[in-house]
This record gives sequence, C-alpha cells and structure tokens, in this order.
Amino acid sequence: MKYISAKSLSGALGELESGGSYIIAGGTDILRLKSSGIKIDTIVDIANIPETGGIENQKGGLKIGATVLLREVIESQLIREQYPILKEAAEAVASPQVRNMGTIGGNLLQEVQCWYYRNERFDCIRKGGKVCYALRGEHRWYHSVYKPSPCVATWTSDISPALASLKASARIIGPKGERTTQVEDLYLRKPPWKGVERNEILKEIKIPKSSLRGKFMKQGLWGPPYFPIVNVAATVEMKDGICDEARIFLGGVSPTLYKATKTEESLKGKPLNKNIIKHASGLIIDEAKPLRNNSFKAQISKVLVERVLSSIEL
Amino acid sequence: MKNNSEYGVVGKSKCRVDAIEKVTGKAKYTWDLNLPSMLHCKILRSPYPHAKIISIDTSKAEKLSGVRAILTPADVPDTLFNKAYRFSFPRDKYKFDERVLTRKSRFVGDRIAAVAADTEEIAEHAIKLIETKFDKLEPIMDPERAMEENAPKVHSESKNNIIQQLVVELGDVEKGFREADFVFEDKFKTHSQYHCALESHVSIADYGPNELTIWSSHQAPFQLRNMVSGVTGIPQHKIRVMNRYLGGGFGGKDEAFDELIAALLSKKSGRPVKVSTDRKEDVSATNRRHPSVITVKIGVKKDGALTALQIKSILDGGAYATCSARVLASNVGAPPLLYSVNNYKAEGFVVYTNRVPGGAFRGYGNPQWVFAVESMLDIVAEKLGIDSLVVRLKNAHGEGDPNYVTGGGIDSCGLERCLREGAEKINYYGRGKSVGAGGNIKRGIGIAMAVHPTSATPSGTEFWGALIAINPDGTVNLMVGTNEMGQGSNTVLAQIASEELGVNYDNISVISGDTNSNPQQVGSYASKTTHIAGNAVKLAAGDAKNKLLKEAAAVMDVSLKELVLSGNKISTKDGVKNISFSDLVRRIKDENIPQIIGVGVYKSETNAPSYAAHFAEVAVDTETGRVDVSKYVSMTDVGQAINPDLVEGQLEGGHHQGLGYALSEGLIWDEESGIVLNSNILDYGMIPPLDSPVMQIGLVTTVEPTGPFGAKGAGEISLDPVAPAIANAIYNAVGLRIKELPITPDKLILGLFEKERKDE
Repeated sequence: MKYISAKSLSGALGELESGGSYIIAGGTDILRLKSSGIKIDTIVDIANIPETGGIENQKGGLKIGATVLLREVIESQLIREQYPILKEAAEAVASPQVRNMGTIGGNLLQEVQCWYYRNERFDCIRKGGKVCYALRGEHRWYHSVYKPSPCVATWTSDISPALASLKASARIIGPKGERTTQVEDLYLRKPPWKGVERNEILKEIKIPKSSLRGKFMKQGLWGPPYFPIVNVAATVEMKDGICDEARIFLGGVSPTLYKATKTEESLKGKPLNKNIIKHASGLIIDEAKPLRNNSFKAQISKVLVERVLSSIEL
Repeated sequence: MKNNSEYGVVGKSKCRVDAIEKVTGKAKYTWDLNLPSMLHCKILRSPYPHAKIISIDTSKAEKLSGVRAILTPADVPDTLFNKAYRFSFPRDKYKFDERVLTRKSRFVGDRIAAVAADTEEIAEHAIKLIETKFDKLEPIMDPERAMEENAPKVHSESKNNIIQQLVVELGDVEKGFREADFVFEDKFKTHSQYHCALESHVSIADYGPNELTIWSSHQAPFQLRNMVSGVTGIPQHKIRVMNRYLGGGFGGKDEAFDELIAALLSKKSGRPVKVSTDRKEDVSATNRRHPSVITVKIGVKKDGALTALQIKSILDGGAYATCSARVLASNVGAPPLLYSVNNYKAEGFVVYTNRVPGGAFRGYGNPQWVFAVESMLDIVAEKLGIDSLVVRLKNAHGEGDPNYVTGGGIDSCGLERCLREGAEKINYYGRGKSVGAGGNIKRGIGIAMAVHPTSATPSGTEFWGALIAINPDGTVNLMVGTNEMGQGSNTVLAQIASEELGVNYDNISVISGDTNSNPQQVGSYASKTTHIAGNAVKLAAGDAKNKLLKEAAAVMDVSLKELVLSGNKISTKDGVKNISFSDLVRRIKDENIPQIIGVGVYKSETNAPSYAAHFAEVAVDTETGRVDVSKYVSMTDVGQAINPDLVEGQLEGGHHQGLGYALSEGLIWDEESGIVLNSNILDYGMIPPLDSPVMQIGLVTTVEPTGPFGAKGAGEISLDPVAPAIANAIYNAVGLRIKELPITPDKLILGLFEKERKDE
C-alpha cells in the first residue's frame, strides 16, 4: 500500500486517476478498513492541502474546509454562535482522540459500520458480491429500518444530518472541474451510495445564513464513542408562531441519510405544540420497514424526533 | 488476631511499588520486548467452524523471501494436552483434547499452521500463501442441541459432546420442596464475555542450547512451564518462564495459547520468535466466559425462608475442554456457600460446541448462577410480598454456618453487614421518594449478593513459596513469584513482608515473574494471591525474623525473649538496648553468618469465602430502552484489607467489567458461518470508562483467621453480583424481568411493548 501526502488539489486529483486510491485526511478509519478485505492500493492524504482547511464567514454563509478537525468545529466561536446544532453533532462523534484527528469531511464521507462489510471473510454486495449477509444475519445495531436496498448497512455520520438540516452545500472538485451540491443530495441517491465519486475530492462545506433553529440528538449502543443506532437533527423556521418549514434528518436508520418528509409536511403551517409534535413524530413509525430484529430502532427514531422537536428553543 | 489499626504498614494504602514505573511509561510488558534477531510469527487459523483438513501445502509460502520456519500439524508433537491444566490439580479433572496445531477445525480460528518470518508483514503474507483443503462438516453451535444423541460430534473420539456432568446434592431437595409453602421455577440465559485485557496475548520463545526461555503475558508461569515441558519433553529446570508486568489478565491469561508455537518455531529457526495476537484474534480465538442456560427451582416458606434450591446448568464449553470442568464445578458448587439452605441439588453439564472455547474468566462460573438465582430470589420475594432485602437477610449465610466444600464452618462472613450497610448508603429504606419518578424516566433500586471462595481449595493443592534474603546494607529482597497484572500484588506482598519482619516498606524489593529465581507457586487465579502468596511471604518473613533475633540476642547479649523487631530496629522490651537493623546485619555478617534467608511455603487448607452485596440505582428510559446507572453502591467483605485503596481500585474495575457484562458486552456470531462479527473493541461493546457511574465502594471488615493479617480474596467477588443487581433494579423501575443477558435497548423496548399489551 502506497502513501502519498498531496500538496495541492490538482496533485491529489492526479493521484486519484489510476483508481484503487483512497482519500484520507485524519486517517482514523483507514487501518480498520485495511483489514476489511477492501482493496486499497494507494492512500492519498489531503490533510496538508491549504485550500481544504479553515473556517470563515464568506458572502452568503460560513465556509468550513473539508479537512477542518472535528475538535476545531467544536471549538469554533463562529459555529458555536451561528450554528450550535453543528457543534452538538460534532461533540457526539467518537472520542476526544478521534475528534483530534478526524475531519468534518471524513465524517461526511465515512464508510459504513456493517460488520459484514468490514470483515474480509464476507464478499458482500457492497464489496461487489451477490449477497447481503446482514439481511439473514445480525443486524440489530447498524442496519436499516427504512428504505430496504440491496445493501442494508446504515449511514452513521453524526455530522451529515446536522449539515443537511442547515441546508449546507458541498463543494466538490473533480477531473471535470468544480461542482456544488446540497449535502443532503450527497446521500439521497441510489447506489453506489455516495455522491462523491472515487476520483473526486470534497473541498469544503458552505452553510447559508438563516434563521433556522435546531437540535441534534443521538443514541448509540452506549454513549460516545459508539456510532449511532439512531441520530436526529431537525431545524425549523417559524413565522408568527407557525412552522413555516421543518427539516428533519435521521442517521443510523437507513442506507442513506433519511429525510422524514411526512413528519416535515405534517408540521408545516402549524404551531409546534405537544400534540402536533407527537402526531408528526408518530408518522416516522408508519414509514418503517424493519428487518427481522431491528424494529426497536423505529421506536427510538420516533422518540428522538419527538424529543428533538420539543427541545428546539423557538 | 489484631485489628488493622494496630498494624504499622498493613491496612494502610501505601503507594504502589510500581507506581512511578507505570505512570512514566517505563514499565516493560511482554509486548514491549524485542530481542536481537527475533522473528515474528503469524498463525494460520481455520475459516470454518467444523471441518477436516485434507491437505496443507506450504511450498509457496516457503519460497517467500524472509520466511524462516513453518509449522504444520506434521511438524509438532502428537501429544495431546490441555492448555488450562494445572499440575497442582488431579489430572483426571482435565480432558487432554488439544494439539499444538490441529488436523480438524473445531471453531473458526482454530490453529492449523504457523509461520516465523523476519517481519510480521512477511509472516502474514506467507500465511495467505499456504494452500489448505478442507472437508466441511456440519457444525454444532447450540449447547442444548449438542447434548442430543444424534448431534454432530466436535471430538470424534469422545462418546458424546458432554465434557463433564456433575451433580451436587446436600440434604434432600424433594423433601425440601414438599415442606415448602410455594415452589417457583424459571429459566435464565447468559452470554459470552471477552476479557478485553489491554495487552492481548503475547509470548516470545528463545530456544537456546542450554535452556528454553519464554517471556509470556501469563498469570501462572509455573503451570506454563509444566505444560511446555509435558509437550516438548524438555525437563523443567531447562525451561525458564518470565514476565515483568501483564497488561491485564482477568483469567484470560490463566491458560497458555501460543507459547508452544513460539517455542517450536524458535527450535526450528534457531532464532527467538514472538507471537502476538492482534485484537481480532484475541477476541475471537483465545477464550471467553461460558454462556449458560440455567433453570432455577426454589421452595420457600411463607416468610421467605428457603426450604430447597435446585439448579440445572448447561454451559457452552466451545471447541476444547480447557478448564470447563472446573468452571462447572464452581458454577454448581458455590450456591450453598451463599444461602443457608439445607436441601440443595445441582445438576450441571458443560458441552462441546463449534465455538471459541470457554475458559477462565473473573468469576469462574459464578456470575452465571448468581444472575439466575439472585434474579429468581427477587421474583420469589415479589410473589410472597416480602421485601428483597428482607428475603436476603433471611437466607444469607453467616459466620459459623457450614462450609460444605471444606467440611468445616465459615470462619469469617460479613454478608449481613454488607446488606445492611449498603442499604443505608443507597437510602434503600427511603427509596419510595425517588423510585418511579415521572415521565419516561423510571428509577429503581436493585440488590444482589454473592459469594466467592478465596482459592480453589480443596479441589486442588493451592500453595505458594517465598524467599526473603537480607542484603548486607539491611535492605530486603523478597523473591515471590507473583504475576503483577495490575492488581497490585507486589505492593501488598511488600507490605506483608514489612509488617512481619519489622523492616521499612521502602527497604523491600519484590523480585517476581521468573521461574528461575522465584520459588514455585500455582499462579495468580482464583482471587488468592494476597491470601496464599501473602501467607507464604509472612512465613518467610517470620523465618528470617527468628534467625535475625537469634543472632541479635547473641550480639546484644540479651535473652531472645527480651527482643522486639519493629520500625527497622531491634530493641529490648524495656527499650534500654537497641540496634538498628542495618547495624545488626553488618555485625552478624562480620562475626557470624554472612547471609540470612527466610523460607516460607504455604499450602491452603481453606477456601475462605469473600462476600458482597451490591445496590444499583438505575434510570430506565422507557421510550428508548436506555439504562443509566445513576448510583452504584457496593459493600464487600474481603476480611482485613492489606491496602484499602488497591482493594477499592480492583473492586471498581470488577464492577465496571460487570456492568459491561450486564448491559452491553458480548460476542456476536454470524450463526451460519460461525464467525465472530464484533471482534474489535469498538463493536464488542465495552462501556467507555468516562461513562462508568460514580461508585461508592465500601469494605466491611471481618478477620479471616486463615488469612495473612486477616485478609481474603477480592478479585472475582467484584464482578459476580453486578448483573443481577442491574436486572433487579430494572425490574424495580419498570416491572420488566429480563432473563437473558446482556440487557440491551432492543430487549427493553420490545419487552415493554409486550408487557403493555399483556397489561391491557
């Protein structure tokens, strides 16, 4: 396995052309992945490219470089003041050691936690095989209760629901130039599951200025450092005490980030009182298509959505 | 025997002898050792739970540059052994069913071949080049199914899959049930737990012309030496086993794993060889706590007094027998040491399956039955309308009650005080105010009690040897083969030597972890180092002291009876004449004998049970299934604590490990392939240290007459009662009885739904 520390975006893109390359920045997961049977020929480290760093206010919003550390997200005064929900999500990620190394971009583009995918003994569908072993096997913690797809491994990033709820966009650079996409669109698509191609680099995140208020909550097998069984980020836009817009995203429950559309629609045009929140949260369960042994996650999803919505300071 | 307060060093929380070495990172563990020209080994492990190995072709691996030696089953002695066998126990208590490398795979991870190469990477590459053909056999994964007559046999030479069957009977259990006002019965299940020692299994072997030297992170070096000698035929005086510190043990390092592979590879290559298991191998292919299915039947009078207790245990022993028969004996044998019940019957089975073998693990068969019976006792209390604490006080064993295991009585027992003082501390009597607090968060308090014997006496010969050498400057070398795995045994033994000998604590060095310079001992398992090694050290110190006083009497020209040795000096009782310890040593060196050596060999005659009562307060989130342990109070009777801070530290660690056992830890298998899925620390489910609840750890002091300065064991009693205390607290909070460990959010959420449906 070859290691390359890229000094520029163009240099890094050049290294990605051959295929079989893997981008790292914090590198907190690469050794675990190496023993998972996933083919990795070259590691391209983008942590030292100046354009991928920095948190700064720009016209139209806040820019966060993809290789900004999770610790820096937590400590940033700009983020704390303007987007506290992002700080809450960053604090829920792993351990202080991981947050000192891990980056916001790495969290957004992390690999799934499915233990079949991460075990070299299983040539699963996600690795190009024919079978999803989790469907018939052990799928209580890190597998889908929504949107059954050929692969049922869940999306376990804590940062992505928070950014999606804030309408953040991602700036991606590739061989054909730069493009911008909504963070939620990075995930809300069909396999191959990621909105960033293997020959592209996530350069930065931009969060628009807004009056959205929000809250993030997470339940892991235990507290941090565990990955989410369920996490929820929700933001609302209120006008004269009435909900004008609600954005609710869940992680840990579906192969992609899960947008609770029915709940969002149900809240629109209503005051956010206890009964309305309760009813809207309940819709989450109706949509669930749990596997054999994980229906309890739908219950947790409903409860966390209800709690998140009830705890947003209006 | 004196009370702790009357001693000088004993009973004081002296600073650990290894404190500075450890906090500065200078302490050397086996993982840290690298010898010149040392090779690294990787092991080829079976990918199938049950398969015959048809052929092994190593030709490609041999050609790889940097590969120095390869072992296949054809290259190792055909001798059958048992990696948990102890020379100090009757041989017929162990099944010898393992070879160094196997020709038949009995679990995923079974050892088939091994490579020694210049680097770990080369060895790993070489392993992948070995071509093995398998003939897959039907695996047997369920212990109850394994007992059926037509079940596939894990060991074809055995009659069936039963490793051991045991019956323990006291009184007449049928008569006890007839005398009962009520009889209750229920079934409980426990799961598999991994030790998670921070230092995984590791050993280095150097096969020299004169001696085979083995460095190993092992809890019982003399047992290891015996086993290696038995398989290789090398006499014991030509084998040296060493370790300075172990990065945790918890019973997992009671058994030998790869030392023989290292030794044989070293012999073949002529170079030292290191075998270090990575975390994945350590979790999935070393050993683990036996899962169990336990049926409990209890007969009680209206007032809660037990008339009969019957247990049926089935333990999953996995692929090899190891110490399973001993674990079973402990599992079915200990309940009558906790409850005063005249009619007791236990029937136990431990069976082979195609899973990773069961082995020694802190608790040794006790956490399983304690979970079952202590859960059951709460069920009984509720049915009778009697308080949980009252039903325990009514049936708790006490001082003078029979110890049927040794045939004598219980010499020291603080169980009743543990229960009463713990109840005070957690405000058990005033709990009505906090329990059932509003909303989704329900609070509850649970109690559980436990017993754990100190040492495996009398089923094995538990002994220890110690030597004390007085140095020319009056300082002391204590040679005692302890196995310092974090528990602080070297510190405690230095304290015991200091107290008995009258020499300052700081003037004593403990030389441990070397079979060549330490007298024999059986190993640091069964919660007994303080008790048994402590007694040996006390004898050695006493012997040295007698010799010194005799010389002092001559030097000072006074009668021996007049002399007292304490505080680093020898004085006459009236204080008129005195001489410092170092002066005396100098004088007798010049005038009479150049070296004073104290000898101590102690053989245990008792199992001095330790007792504990745990009180857990939990807050259960009924909507998300989260259990927050909001308060944890434990009271433990370890006799007189030699070093209270160290005892509390060890208890806290055990409680934490018990919380993981209760709530989140456990091996998870893909049942179809037999592969352990969560073989890393993240997926395995340990509770992170920062999430450990604040614990109030209390000691109830008794004086154990057979203990050194009144001490008993503390290592395992720390874990035994945790799971039922949590389960009982959860029931108290939400009225849901979880009978299968671990108690995870899915079980709680689905259980509460089910309960709601039934209640309606």
